[in-house]
Amino acid sequence: MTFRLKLPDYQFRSMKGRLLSWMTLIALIPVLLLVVIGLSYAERQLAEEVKTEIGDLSTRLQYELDLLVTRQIEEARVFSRSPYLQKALADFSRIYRPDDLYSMSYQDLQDTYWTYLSFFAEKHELKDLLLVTTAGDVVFSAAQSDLYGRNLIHVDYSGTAIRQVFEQALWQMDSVASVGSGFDQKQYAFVAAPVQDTRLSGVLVMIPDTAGLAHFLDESSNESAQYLSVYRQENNAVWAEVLGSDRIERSSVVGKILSAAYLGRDFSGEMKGWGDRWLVSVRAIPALDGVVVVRRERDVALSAIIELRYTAWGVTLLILILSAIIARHVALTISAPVYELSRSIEQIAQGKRKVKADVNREDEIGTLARQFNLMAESLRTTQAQLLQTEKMASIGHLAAGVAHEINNPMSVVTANMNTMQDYSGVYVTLVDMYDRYIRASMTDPVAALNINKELQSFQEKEDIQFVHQDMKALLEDSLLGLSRVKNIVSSLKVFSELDQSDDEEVSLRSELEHVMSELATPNKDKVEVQFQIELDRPVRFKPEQMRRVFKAVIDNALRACTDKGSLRIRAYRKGKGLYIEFHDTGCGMDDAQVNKVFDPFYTTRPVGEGIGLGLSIAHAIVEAHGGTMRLISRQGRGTKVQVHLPGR
Amino acid sequence: MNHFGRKAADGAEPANLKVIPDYFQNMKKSLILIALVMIVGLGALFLIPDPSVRVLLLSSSAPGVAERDLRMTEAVTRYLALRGQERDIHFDIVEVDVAQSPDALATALDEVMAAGEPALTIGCGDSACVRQVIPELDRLGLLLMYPGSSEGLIRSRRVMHLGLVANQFLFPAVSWIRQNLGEDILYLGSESARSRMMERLISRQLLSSSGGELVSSEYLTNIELLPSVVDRINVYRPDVVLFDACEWLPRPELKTALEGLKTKVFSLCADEHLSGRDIYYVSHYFDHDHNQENLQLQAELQVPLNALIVQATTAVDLYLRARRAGYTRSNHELSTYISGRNALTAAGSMAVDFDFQGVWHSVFIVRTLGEREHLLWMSDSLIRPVMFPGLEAPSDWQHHLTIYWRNNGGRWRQGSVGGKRWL
Repeated sequence: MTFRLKLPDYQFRSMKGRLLSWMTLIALIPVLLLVVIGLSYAERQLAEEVKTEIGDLSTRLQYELDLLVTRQIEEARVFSRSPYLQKALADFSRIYRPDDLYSMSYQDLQDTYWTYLSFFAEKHELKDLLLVTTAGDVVFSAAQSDLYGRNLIHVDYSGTAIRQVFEQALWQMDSVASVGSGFDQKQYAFVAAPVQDTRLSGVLVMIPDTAGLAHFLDESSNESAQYLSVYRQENNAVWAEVLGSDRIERSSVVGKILSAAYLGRDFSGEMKGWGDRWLVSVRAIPALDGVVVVRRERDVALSAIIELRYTAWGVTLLILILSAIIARHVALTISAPVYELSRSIEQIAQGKRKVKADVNREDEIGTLARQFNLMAESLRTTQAQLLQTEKMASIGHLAAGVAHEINNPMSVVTANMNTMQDYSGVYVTLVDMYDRYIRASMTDPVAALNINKELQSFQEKEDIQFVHQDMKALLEDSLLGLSRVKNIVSSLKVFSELDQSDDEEVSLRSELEHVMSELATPNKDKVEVQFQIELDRPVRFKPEQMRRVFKAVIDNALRACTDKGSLRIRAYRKGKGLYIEFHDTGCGMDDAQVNKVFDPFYTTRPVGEGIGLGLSIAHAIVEAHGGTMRLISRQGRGTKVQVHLPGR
Repeated sequence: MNHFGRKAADGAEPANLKVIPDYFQNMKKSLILIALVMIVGLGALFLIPDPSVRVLLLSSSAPGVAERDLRMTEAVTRYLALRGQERDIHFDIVEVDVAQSPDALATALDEVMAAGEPALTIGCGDSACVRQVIPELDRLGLLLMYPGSSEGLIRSRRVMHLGLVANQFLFPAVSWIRQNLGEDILYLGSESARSRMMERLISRQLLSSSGGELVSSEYLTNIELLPSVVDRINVYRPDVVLFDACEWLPRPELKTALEGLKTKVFSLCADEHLSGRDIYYVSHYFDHDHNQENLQLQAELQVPLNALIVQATTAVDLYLRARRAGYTRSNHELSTYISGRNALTAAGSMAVDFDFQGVWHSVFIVRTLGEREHLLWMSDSLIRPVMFPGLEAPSDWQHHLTIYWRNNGGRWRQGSVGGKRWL
């Protein structure tokens, strides 16, 4: 079993439509491709450019943040090496008493060292500067914070960033920075450096102020709809924004991306988050133990393309409209003359003679039109010649028919006249004899008797009784023949009167009933006549002439129904034409008869009952009305005559 | 000729039709030619393969390190083949043995350069090898992706340290040892710049500043001396032997000897792990079952991994990332791209330092008991690499290295090369 998909075969109804469709399609396809592909490409390219840009920005940010921390580390490293600091740490360590934090000795040292150390802290944008012993005691705080007097090794500081950085400083790495696991919004890092000369004497801890970082992030964000953020893990469940309020669940899509970036998989791409779609670059910043996120709103970043999209679609629409207009114009320039030509051909097919294609062009179509006009002219001429020939032939045929039809009775009349002429001689002689007899009987009885004997002998010889009877018959025959000739001549007159009289609006039914009433067909009363007039308004034709048509057709139909039959007369309008159908159930005709039925003088009736011009005249009358008359017959079943009158 | 320039079938020329001018004939030929050129061009574009990528692998055939370097180069070669297959890149691998005289090395590298500048240079299993090639790197403008650990006393923009530097493994290790294993530490190194400098860091800085000192420092110059060294160790009876004679690791006698010690052994050989009965080591690579990158690399290479191999493959990955980003037109571009890059490797997260001092790493302290490993300590976060740590300036360290080198006849390691150039 196979499955075949058959697409519908669509045919254009006009060349204009075909040209219009194809030309519009040809214009549409490249434009659409250009717009769709071009815009998609441009959008992708712009998105890639933006991603590259924010990727570069995040790289730069990572570098500068690292530099920020590195600078602080270096400051700690250098400062931790200074003898001044080493001495300060040694002094504070020496006098430190946890139970007497603010002893006189401490205050004396404060007076000595605080000015410079606080100046250093302020100059380097430190929130605080701490001196811590190797045992973990915070022996000095430049900001005189709560950390002074605390022990970083105490369990309270377990896991904190400050403890971590302190311990790493004890490793004697030059300097370290740590952000720890739980962070405080007030600081983002702790920087520490071992304070040592020949011996490790303690640790310098610096706590940078967040203002520096905030200022840096603000400065780096120089575009609207672009956000720079640093995130760190909080409680292993949330990514928390440093110096901000944003919190992102680690289990969320964004959170997973941040986690992956933290592990080393930098991310650059598009993501959904923060209530919108963003072009994002995420990188880890080991220096801050977090990730930097640079994001730009996608719609804002691609606004140029989005606006271009509207413009592009607008331009596309304009191009389509222009293409359609141009295509229509081009199509018209091709289809219009073709249509004109086809219309002219149609007119010729309809029988119109004076047809000329109104196409004045120099191209192939113009040549075609000129050739067509030449052909039409030639056709007209030929048609005229043919018509003339046909006319002559018809006239000849008619004349022959007429001559034949007239010649026959006239021959009879002529022959009768000859005989009657002979008979008139006999009657003259007879009258002369009767005149001599009468005169003789008055004057000369003997002469009268001789004349009487001569008269009787003459009567016997000429068979006067026969002459009397024959004369009568001859006269009747002659009158009959002359009457036939008169009928023929009066019928022929109809042909010359076809274009006379005017159209009138009449009721078809009334006309038909009038004709029925006038008909003297012998079996008129035996035939059932049905009228099926489906007209809603009067008809318009030459009533005198059409009555002849109806009379001829109905008469033939009635005569065809020799026994009991029926005649149905139906009239209706179809399109702009009037159709009148006469359908009888008579004896019908064979094909040979049907072919001749409209020929003049063709009749199947006995001699003297018709001259055979009825249907011929009816056909001519219908043709003169611009219509057609058709006859369909089945021998033994009946005949249908259809009269079509267009525009009635 | 009919409308298309050809004769009608019967040879007759139709009336009223023009003959095709010659220029149309030429235009047809031109169009055919253009079409052919386009087809050939497209074919060249798609069929002609991209030029191969030249990769230079540096290794040493010197005794003690040859096997280590061989394993590294084999692993890198296999890794390059795998990645090349994935990305349809042909890697043209060239290996140069660093264990030859400086002149011979220069000649060998010149030959390599003559055939085409390498897009990627990976190699050296230790810092002694790096010191030997740095003059050539400077001369030829190459960037060496060095996968091994070092004492952190090399300053060169031509070298990217992918392994641990001293402050990342030595400093936390010594601190942990003192807290967990004991204060009496004996240092066992080899006759190499690394060991000498590491010993100096430990004794002169880490311990001295806190009032401590090494019990003793022993240096393995040849394997025959191993028993006497062991004897001395047993005499001193330190709490822990800080093992740093990494080039002796392949020798089975060493493993036997260390297992015979009556003291704990802590290995500073971060690149290769010293397996044994009860050994501690510090490294940036730990065979973690939860590290998917680690598992994947093991499956691909089908060899036991160590930090050296992992970082060598990381060098390849960094190059491929730079290539994808279009930053491989020169070694300078490559170094610019890699600077500051983060990566997730079989050794975990890492980040290349912007100052090119090294790579931020997580650090692990592990104890091996037979075939099993136990993670004892892990850094809370990535540790920043710091070159030339401590109180001495880089010039001071260069001075110490020079003294050592001169005192050892210019040898960077036992049985190593002589030469004129040094760092």
